[in-house]
Amino acid sequence: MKKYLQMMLFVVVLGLVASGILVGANEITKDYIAKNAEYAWKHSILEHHEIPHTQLDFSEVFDESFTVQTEFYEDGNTLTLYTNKVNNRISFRFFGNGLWDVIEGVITLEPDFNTVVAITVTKQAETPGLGGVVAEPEYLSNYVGKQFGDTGLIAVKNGATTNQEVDAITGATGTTNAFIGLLNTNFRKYYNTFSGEDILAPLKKAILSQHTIEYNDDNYNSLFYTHFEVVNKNNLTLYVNKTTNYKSYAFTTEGFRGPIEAVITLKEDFVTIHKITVLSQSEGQGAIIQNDPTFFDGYVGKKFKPVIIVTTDPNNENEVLDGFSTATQTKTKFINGMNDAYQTYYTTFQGGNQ
Amino acid sequence: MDQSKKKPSTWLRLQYKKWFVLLRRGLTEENPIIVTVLGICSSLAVTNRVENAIFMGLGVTFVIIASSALVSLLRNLIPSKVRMVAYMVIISVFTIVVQMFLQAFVPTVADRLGSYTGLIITNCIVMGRAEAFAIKNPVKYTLIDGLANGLGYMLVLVLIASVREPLAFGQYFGMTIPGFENWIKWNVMALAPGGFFVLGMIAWGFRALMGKYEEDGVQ
Repeated sequence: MKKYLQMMLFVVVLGLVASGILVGANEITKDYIAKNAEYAWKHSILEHHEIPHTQLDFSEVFDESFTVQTEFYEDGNTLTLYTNKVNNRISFRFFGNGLWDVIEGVITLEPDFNTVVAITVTKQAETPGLGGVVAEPEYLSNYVGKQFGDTGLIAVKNGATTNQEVDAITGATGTTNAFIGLLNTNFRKYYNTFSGEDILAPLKKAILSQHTIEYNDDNYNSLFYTHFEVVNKNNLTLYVNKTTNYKSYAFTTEGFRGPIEAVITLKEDFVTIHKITVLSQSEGQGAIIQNDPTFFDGYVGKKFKPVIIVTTDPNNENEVLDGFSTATQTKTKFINGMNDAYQTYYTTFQGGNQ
Repeated sequence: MDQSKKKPSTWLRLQYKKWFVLLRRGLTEENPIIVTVLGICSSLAVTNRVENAIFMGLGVTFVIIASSALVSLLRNLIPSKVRMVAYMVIISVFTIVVQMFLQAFVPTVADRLGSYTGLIITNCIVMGRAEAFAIKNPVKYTLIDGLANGLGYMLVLVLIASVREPLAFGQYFGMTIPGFENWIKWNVMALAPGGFFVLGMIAWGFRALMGKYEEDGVQ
């Protein structure tokens, strides 16, 4: 009994001593650590805007140089946009999941809210030498002058040719997809919140593309309303092509790491898939569903009878070839969500279960 | 004059002081890396820059001294059944302290050392000194023993880094060495295998100098 009491006493003493030391050290260092973390990203933004500063005055310089706007976003996060008071270039911080761990950084855009001025990655833990290249200034300089456009950046393997294409990292497809995906998602959030533009624009443009109607930035809105009838029922919205009677709707599914937003167009029978486009996602490996424009080619002509099934050996008209590779979580969640959304829309707009 | 009555020289007397013996052992004949071959992992990982080696050395020295001192202070309280666990708790506490201080005052070094500061917890030297020395010696000798082993570790780290950094980057302490302006970077030296070769050479050289060989398990 005495032995146990002694052991208990020891545990208590050790615990008190240990926590005392840690609390003390934390008190001494926490202000400095917070300041260093702040310096890391503010320094990067100031570098992007070529504003001279030192480690001592960066905070004041930063406050003097930028107007700060904050908005709440629908996912519960607060978005903060920094606008340069002199040349109106804008910067914001981005966060998202890489292949292994969170990737954080800052991005600066031209006042057009489209063209990249500079990108810096301030934190990552990708494979050193492969995915880790994502933080190297030489690689990120490849993004300068690129434009997000309506569909976001696209990574290509054999040399970028257009303004929307950037070079992928050799030997790090997973990191590349994840990085491009999180850039696009963050961009979309900030664009929708701060640009003052039509937040349905990406959806309308995606639907116009799916119905192969040509549009530009000026006429897409009027074209959209001349070509489509908007049917609202039970809080769901269906867009019906007045000529072909093809039907489109937007749906959101769960994903491996966050919601996936997509648009689907069905033929007039409300069963056959015409096109599928993913508008935003935050998957890692599964980012391929947005980044590879040919990903859903195999789904064209397949039928919800009653659900779409992904298999390695498709034989029936409701089966498609599995192109998800290792992104099994993305596959299950996206396909289930797509089937559920279909069921809801079918019941609501066609009546009865299929 | 009778030779035997002459006082021995200060140097000779010094050599028999306990603190001097402890210091000498830690630095040379019981050097943690070269002789007892403990703490190899970090000596390979962080020695591509002299600056990293110094800060890692200082961090480890601090953790050894502080944890050994605390273990020694509590040595009559620690129940022998749970002493290993107690070491782990004490070592973790001081490792976290080192990590916090590095992040607060030298963030660039903290960044470059990355997870290796946290891995001081698993550095065998720290645990080794606690179990082999601190648990049965008074605090004052423990402090010296910790210092000696920490410095012995740091010495070897800095030596390895002094070979690797010039060969890998043509620099020393982050500054370009005159005559090395057009140095072609020897990449292997920046990576762990380079460290392994250099460590092997240094260990060989020192052991040969000290006449320290192991044969059939007998030292």
